[in-house]
Amino acid sequence: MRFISYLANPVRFLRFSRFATPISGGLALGLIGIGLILALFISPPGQEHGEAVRILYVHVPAAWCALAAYSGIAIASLVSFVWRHNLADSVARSLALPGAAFTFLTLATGSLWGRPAWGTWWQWDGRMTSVLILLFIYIAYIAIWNIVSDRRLAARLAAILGMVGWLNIPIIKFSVNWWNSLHQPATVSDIGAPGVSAELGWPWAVMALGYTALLVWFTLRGTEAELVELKRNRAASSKPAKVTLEDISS
Amino acid sequence: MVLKILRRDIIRAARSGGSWAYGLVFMAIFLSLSAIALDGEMSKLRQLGVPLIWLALSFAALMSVERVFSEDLRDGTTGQLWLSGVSFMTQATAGLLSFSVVYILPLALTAPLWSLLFDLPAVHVTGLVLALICALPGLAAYTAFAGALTGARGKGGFLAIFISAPLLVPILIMGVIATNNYPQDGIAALEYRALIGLSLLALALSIPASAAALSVNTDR
Repeated sequence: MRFISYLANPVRFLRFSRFATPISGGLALGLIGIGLILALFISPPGQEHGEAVRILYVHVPAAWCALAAYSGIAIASLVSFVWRHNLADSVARSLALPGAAFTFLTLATGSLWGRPAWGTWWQWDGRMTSVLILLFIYIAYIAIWNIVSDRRLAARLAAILGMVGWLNIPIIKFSVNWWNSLHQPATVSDIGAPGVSAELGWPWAVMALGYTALLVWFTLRGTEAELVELKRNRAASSKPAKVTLEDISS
Repeated sequence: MVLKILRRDIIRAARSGGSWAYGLVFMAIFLSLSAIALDGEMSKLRQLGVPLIWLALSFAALMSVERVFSEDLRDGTTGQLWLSGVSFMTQATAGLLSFSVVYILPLALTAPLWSLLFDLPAVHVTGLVLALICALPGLAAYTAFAGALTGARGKGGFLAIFISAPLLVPILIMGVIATNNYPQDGIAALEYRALIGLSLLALALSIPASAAALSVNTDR
């Protein structure tokens, strides 16, 4: 809590982000690089699905980041709504676009995986449907920021939507699973279910950490950009007066 | 106070020259076009009737979203009521109630009429009406929440749909399953209880969230 209120001051935040941004960027680059080498060259092809299994090294970390980003938005929204924390708005806003991009990546790579694994690009199964709905929630969240022109108002409204959306995600997931279990027998062979072997698990862990670092980098850069824009807007609206009363009387 | 606001809204709707019926007209057009697009083939229509009526009703509710709070926000009534001691929570509850009565209830009550277009069996129609009544508070709550968030902004239409569509998914899913299961399980079908649960959850979430959105939109 003390750390959160410490960062409420933009100057302190910039001091923190000056070293945190390059560190997270470098970590993302390094870890994703190592992860890709591990995933593409070192880890063995899947027993059942051959080389196609490598898609999952991109897919699973993207899904993790998509969910993490939305949870981040919900927490930042709560902090912004309760404590009127200025920077929490910027953090929530900066998380939205990368979060939506990760969600889209999850769907796209899931679809690419679905073709060889299940023989179809799209299946209305519980997971895919709920991720698709998560993408719609992201779009609504981004839309509210874009449509409401007053930044302060947009921030408060987006925070309310962020929190309500987050509370609804488990309900949506539950209902989609219910629907799915009624309409379709389980077609998903869950490769992670019985526990993942170390040679498959390592690239995953490295990629997941790399993706998380990338998400942090996006968020910090986004927040820095927001701060610059806010500063520019403030400077434009309150220029110092050039004419004083003394000037007029003389 | 809630009843006073409800009464005012009903009177206003009655004097508005039929604007409360736009949702019904939309439903009629949507369902007729669907039937035409499906080639008017009764075997197909019978199968798709229930989901199409649910979809039409959800869309009609979304179309009326601008009428929930926007008029009061635009002419300053919301702020005035707040100044005279009516909390945003009361206003959100009253707005939701009048939205349900004026705009959503007619949509649900006319479902048997629409089911004629699809030649649905009588038992399905009963199931449909019961499911709609169970789902009505939830449907109204999420739409009203979207209305409170978009507020007085004219271009709120799309935004309101973006906001409430994902929230309506569970209600749509359970509503269609409940209706389809009614002939076998009757009102005891688990999905009816799930629908009531979803509606109660929606009310518990939407009323405070709408009140917060009203307070933000009036700058309090």
